[in-house]
This record gives sequence, C-alpha cells and structure tokens, in this order.
Amino acid sequence: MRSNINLIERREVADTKVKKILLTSVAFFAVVFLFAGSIIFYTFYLKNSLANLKTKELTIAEDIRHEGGKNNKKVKFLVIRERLSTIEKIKKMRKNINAKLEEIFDILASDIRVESIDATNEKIAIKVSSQNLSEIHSLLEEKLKQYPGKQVEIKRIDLSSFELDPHSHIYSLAIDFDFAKK
Amino acid sequence: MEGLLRLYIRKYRSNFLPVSLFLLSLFIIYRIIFPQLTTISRVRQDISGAEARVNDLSTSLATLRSLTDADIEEKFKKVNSALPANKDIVTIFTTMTSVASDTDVEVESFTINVGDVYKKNKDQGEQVPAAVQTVAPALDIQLGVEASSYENVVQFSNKLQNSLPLSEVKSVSAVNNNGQYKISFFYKPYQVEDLEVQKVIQPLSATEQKQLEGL
Repeated sequence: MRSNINLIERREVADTKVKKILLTSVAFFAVVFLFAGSIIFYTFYLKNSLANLKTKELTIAEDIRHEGGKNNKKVKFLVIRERLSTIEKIKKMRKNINAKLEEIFDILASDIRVESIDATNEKIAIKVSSQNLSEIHSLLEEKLKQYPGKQVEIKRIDLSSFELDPHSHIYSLAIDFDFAKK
Repeated sequence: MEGLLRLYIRKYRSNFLPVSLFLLSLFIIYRIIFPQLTTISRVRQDISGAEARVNDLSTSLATLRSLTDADIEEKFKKVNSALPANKDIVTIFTTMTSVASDTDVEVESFTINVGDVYKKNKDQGEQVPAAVQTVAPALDIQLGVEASSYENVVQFSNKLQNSLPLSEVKSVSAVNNNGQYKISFFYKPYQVEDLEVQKVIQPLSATEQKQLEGL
C-alpha cells in the first residue's frame, strides 16, 4: 500500500473526470440535436417556398393562357416574330438581277439602243445597236473594260457578234455578261 | 460469473450515459442530418429552376400585356402582306398591276404554276412536296408586259422586287419593248405548333422594330 494515497481525494478526482465526460457528451448531443432540428426546420421552409413558387408558376401560366387567348394575341405575336426572321432571310438570300441590269444600262450611251435583253442572275445577254461608231468603240474599248471594277461578280464579258447593216448603217452588237455563281 | 458481471456494471455504469448520448448523436448525424443536407441541395436546385421559370413566364406575361389588340393586328397584317400564309393570287395580281401602272407598263400575259407536284419518297414511300424552298416556299409566275422603253422593263422588275409580297425576279427577257419575267412570290404557311414551343415571349427588339417599319 502506498503511503501517499488519499482515497477520498481519488474519488473526488474520479467524480470530476466522470462529470466532465458526461457534460461533454451532453453538450455534444445537444449541439447535434439542435443542428438536426434547425436543418429539419430549414428543409420544411424550403419545401414550402418551392410549393409557393409552383403555385405562382401555375397562376402565371394560366394568366398567359387567358391573356394570349384574347384574339389569339400570343399566336399572332409569335407569328410576327417568326415572319420577321424569315423575311430577313429571304431578303438576304434573293438575287437582284435588276441592279446588274441597271449598271449595264448605265454604261450604255444614250444613242446606243437596246434591242433585246435576256437576263438571269448568272448571265445577261444584251443586243444593242447604234449608228455612232465612236460610241460603240468607246463602249468596247473603255466602258466594258471598266465595268469589272464596278461589278465584282463579273466573270467574263463576251462580244458574241458584231454586225453592220449596209442599208441603214446601223451597227449591232451582242454582248454576254457571265457572273460568278453565288 | 454473475459476480463478475456485477463488478463490471458497477465499475463502468458512470460511462453508460455518455456513451449512449454519443451513439445517439452519431445516429442523428447519419440518419437525419446527412439525408437532410442532400434534400436541401435538391430542393434548392428545384427552387432555382422554378424561379427561372417564373421569371420567364412573368416576362412573357408582361410582353403580352404590353401589346394592344390594335397594335398586334397592325403588325400581323404588315408581316402577312410581306409574307402571306398561302398562295394569295389575288394580292399578287393586284401588286403586279399596281407596279405596272406606276412604271408605265402594261400587263399582257400572266401564267401561274400553282400546284406543287407530289412525288413518293423512294426510300420511305412517303409523299413529299416536290418544290420546297429552304427558307420559304414560292409561287412561280410568268409575266408578259409591254413597255414604252427598256428602262421601264427594268424599272418594273426592280419595283416589283421591292414591293410586297416578297418576290424574286428570276429572269428578265425583252425584245422590242415586250418584256417577259419569271418571278417567284414567297409565302409561308403558319406552323403554330412549332411556334408555341417557345418558352419565353420577349418583346420585339429594336432590330425587329426597324425591320417592321421597313416593310
């Protein structure tokens, strides 16, 4: 037996240690319990919010059905938007023969008469006539050569015929313009 | 044996409550807290999705409420005059005669290729329309005019392509001031089921307003 053992003291120490463990476990349990309670309460709150949102969603959807149904407002509006998009695409997609024809007519002098036109987007064939040889010369030597600078799509310009009517002294030319296919 | 058991119980009975509390805490953590955290994450995602849908629906409702009936009708008529829902031959003819009158040209002949020819799809045995444009189908017309000059022939073609309904002049030929045109007039049937799939109805943008005013 050890002489310095105080049996009463040891019991008090043992009691204190047990009390500490007990208090710690109770505190830990209390924290966990409170935390679990808070989470459950929060989950309940979130589910309630979700239910409210779903109700609101249904209400607004019903309002849209009602508002959109007046004179088919919704459908008409959607058609308007869809049509605008299609119209824009068509405007970009369609070819413009007229612009090319106008450019060709611009390079013809006033005393050069157009006899015939046959135009598609890829090819324009014109037949012109004039009594003025210098104008025809200017057309062939200057204006037609300058034309590709103005019209980037032009691929080829052909003079397919050149005739003179000996009785009327009228010169006739047939000119073919080939454009690049887009 | 019984004495040993009593000894152990007496020795460790002070630890019984803390251990029980600890085990109960672990049980609460694994069976309540962790599952609830998963549920919270899921519900918050659902809330986020629902909020987005409510915002979209609110935008759609606000857009619809901002439009008056008169406004919608006017815009609807405008777009349909540019791109009709069907082959509106009367409107096409009216447009052509109006443009002819403006450009000092007389309409001599008018031929319409009205019907699309249906053909069987070789692979599937289904019937499909023969002429299908990628953007919008078109009604092809051949037109003969008499003009006072070639300038008027081109002017007519130009003005027609800039009129409504939308058209494209495919070819122009003229001899002795008599012009022949091949013109395609565009139309597009309504496809309401495809349109109604849209989730949000936004107001017309500035670009769209401008397009509408340009018609």
